[in-house]
Amino acid sequence: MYDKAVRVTHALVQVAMALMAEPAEKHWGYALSKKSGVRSGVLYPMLTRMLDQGWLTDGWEDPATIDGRPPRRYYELTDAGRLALGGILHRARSDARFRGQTWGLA
Amino acid sequence: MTTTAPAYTPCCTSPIPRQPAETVELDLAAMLDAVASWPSLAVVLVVFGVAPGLALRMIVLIYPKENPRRAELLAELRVVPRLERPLWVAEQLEVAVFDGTRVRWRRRRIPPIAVQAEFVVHWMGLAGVVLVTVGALMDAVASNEKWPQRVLAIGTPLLFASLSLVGAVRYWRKARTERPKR
Repeated sequence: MYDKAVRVTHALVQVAMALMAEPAEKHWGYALSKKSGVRSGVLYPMLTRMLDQGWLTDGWEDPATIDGRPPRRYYELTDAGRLALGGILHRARSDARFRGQTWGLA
Repeated sequence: MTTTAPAYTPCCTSPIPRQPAETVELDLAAMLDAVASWPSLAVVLVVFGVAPGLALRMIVLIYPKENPRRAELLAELRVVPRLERPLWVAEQLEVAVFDGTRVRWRRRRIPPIAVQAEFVVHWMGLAGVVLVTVGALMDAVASNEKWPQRVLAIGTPLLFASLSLVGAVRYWRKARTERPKR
């Protein structure tokens, strides 16, 4: 569930939007960083926290499907994560700090 | 006495004479030669080819051995465009320094309190008693005095010192060999 103790920052909202744009898809670290516009120095610790809270699950690419490079780690939203990030986005929409935010489909 | 006003002289009647600009001759051929030289090519190959991978391999060592971020970052490097790699790797250094050390700190090896108590009871006490007895006996023989007083005078600080030393060494060794469960 959405934890009210989580501090809603611009970076968190950006990442939440990027994740919720394709809630059933796999997300990759670098691609997520590009999509959300959040630099990796902020993104990776955030992903770790989301994993700890059970909002995300992770996995590794099947080595049989790739060639010439090591398998990458992907992240998928859990049901709890969809609820939590949906709550964060809902809260952010009514927050004055995020007034200039382009919300897109999320 | 009559005073006459000074004649008005406009300040800028004539434009300030400009110095002729220094002419810089651009030797394009020399510049192109400099850019396309072998050393430049080597620098580009190092900065955008070899160095990011090498640097990243060292950076990920900050994370504990079992941490999946090690493999994740090395795999992600392959999909980062070459032009972005140096900066991306520099960012990973920042992540690793803060995130990796935090993970290591969280997983630092601390034996449970029962293990620590066991050290105190069994090893520190035993070692302290042995050291005190041996030290007091040697001193009593050497000084030819009544040994119970000598035991108290010399043995007490020796006991505390040996307790501290043996305890610290045992604790350190145990902490190094025992890893907490993940």
